[in-house]
Amino acid sequence: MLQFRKVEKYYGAHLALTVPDLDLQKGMYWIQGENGSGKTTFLKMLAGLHPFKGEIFLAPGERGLSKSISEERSSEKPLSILNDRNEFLKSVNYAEAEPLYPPFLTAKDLVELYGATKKADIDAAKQQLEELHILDAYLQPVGTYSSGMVKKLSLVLAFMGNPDWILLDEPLITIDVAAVELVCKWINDWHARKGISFLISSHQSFASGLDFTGNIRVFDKTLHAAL
Amino acid sequence: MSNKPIARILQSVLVNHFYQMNAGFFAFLFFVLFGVVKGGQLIDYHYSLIIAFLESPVIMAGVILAWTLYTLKCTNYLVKRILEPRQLFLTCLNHLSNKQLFAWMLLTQVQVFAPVWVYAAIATAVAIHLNLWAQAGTMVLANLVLIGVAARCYTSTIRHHGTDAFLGKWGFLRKWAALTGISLQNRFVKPVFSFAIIHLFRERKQMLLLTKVFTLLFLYGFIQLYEPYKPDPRPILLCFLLVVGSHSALIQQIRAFEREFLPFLRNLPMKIPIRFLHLLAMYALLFLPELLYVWMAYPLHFTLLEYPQIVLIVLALAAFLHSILLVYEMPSEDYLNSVFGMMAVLFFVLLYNPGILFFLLVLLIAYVFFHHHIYG
Repeated sequence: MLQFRKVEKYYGAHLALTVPDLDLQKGMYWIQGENGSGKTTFLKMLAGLHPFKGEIFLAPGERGLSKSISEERSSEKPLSILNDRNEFLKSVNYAEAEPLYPPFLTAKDLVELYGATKKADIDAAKQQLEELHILDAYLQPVGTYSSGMVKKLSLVLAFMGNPDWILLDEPLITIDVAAVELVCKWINDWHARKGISFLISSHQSFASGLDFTGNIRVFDKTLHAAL
Repeated sequence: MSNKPIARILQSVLVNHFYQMNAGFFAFLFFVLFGVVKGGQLIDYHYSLIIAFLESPVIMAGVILAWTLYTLKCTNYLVKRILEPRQLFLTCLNHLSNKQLFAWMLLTQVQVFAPVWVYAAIATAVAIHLNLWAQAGTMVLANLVLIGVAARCYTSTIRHHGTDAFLGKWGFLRKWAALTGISLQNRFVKPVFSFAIIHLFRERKQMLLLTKVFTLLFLYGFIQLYEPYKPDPRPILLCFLLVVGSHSALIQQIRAFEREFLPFLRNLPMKIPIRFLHLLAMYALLFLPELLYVWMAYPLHFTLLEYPQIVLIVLALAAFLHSILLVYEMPSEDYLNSVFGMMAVLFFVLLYNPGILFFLLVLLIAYVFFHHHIYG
């Protein structure tokens, strides 16, 4: 469960987004809002990319755990993004809408970096790259990639490790139709089989059918949950 | 398109940006040219300099070589700038005729080349006054050629955006480099601390080369010319204060690179002390040539036990400069004021030989800054 307490994001003196006190149970959520409404800002705060006022907590996850472990973990203190940042980020993965990596890095560099820091299975990531038909470019610098290839790579990186939550900012833009279907399948599978929760911002409808738990709308510089 | 918007866009996107990003370099140049002599002697000092290169063909060749290096710096920077994805809109200039586009690029180069041609114009006036017509002609010709070649390079970059067309027959070198790059990348995974250094090697070659040439020549000159009575680390520590100060523009470039390309690292679960160790490893790599070369001064200038002080002053000061750039997107002017302020204070502190504990304290301050501001 994600808990938001008095969260506000300012750019200088300008208030960009307010998140009312909110407990977001595990599930799959569709974040909707106009351009510039604050969807990306919200996800970046949660991913530790943007500083903000207030506090975000992550309650220990229960996904895929036996009842005894689940009960034990539920009694653990929630992780604070401010005070337990490292542990928090092990549980929250993020893929940007328009990912940008140093052009001289290869997919191998990035996958191994994510593998080392997120304690993730590199072979599983390579398998996903293969399914997206970009494993051939594994040793090429990302500067030689098309925007769709970079986007696919960023999605694979977001699925690495053992996250409780995966944040996907416009995951379907720039990728081909086959990849859209595959990514939707991954999301459904990982949610159903591994109990991973998703926060997905998208202007596109999900024709492949994602079974959303609820919607989160961002307007008037405020986040409104319709659960 | 009327002329005003073109002039305004080129001014803000290319010229102003060039001066902003190279403010450290120009501040250093200004200090060397105008800050090392007293105000009353400034005109005599420069008059002597001008006479020296007017009367010596060797020195004149050196001066023209320096102008050529500056031209390379301009062209390298502006070509990269034009090719940035967010400057793609500059391809709208393609509707201009070749002559018009060349004229605009000429104007751009005249503006970024101003520090050279203004000084050259004064030197030419002196040469004409002294009836040294050949030297005057050489300087005018050198400036015209350098400005013209650079403008041609920008014109070609805009015309053949994103392709190697302007490299002509030398395009194969880039392809060869790319192939070599891929073959090397097969074998090695780049560590995080190497990212920014690779970026400097790829995108800021001239700046890196000029800085390294300057600092190594400076150390060479110091080691050759100064013979202490007994080992005393203070002079060499003062040298390294200047070495780090000379890298201030590169440190600014590293921060700009981090802001643009490495935000994704913030989402990775890496502890702050580990991130700080990456920072120290990165600066150890950047200053490796100087830290190795200084062994030429051993044992005359420092003892074995004093070498850690040298390493520590470099890492602590570089980490400190890096960390203050984390506080906010500091304008170049504020940053340079901080650099000069730091150097002025440390100059006097170093004279008292404060010992290794002082450098550990500077490192600790850098870490505190880093810890508080790494996540904004």
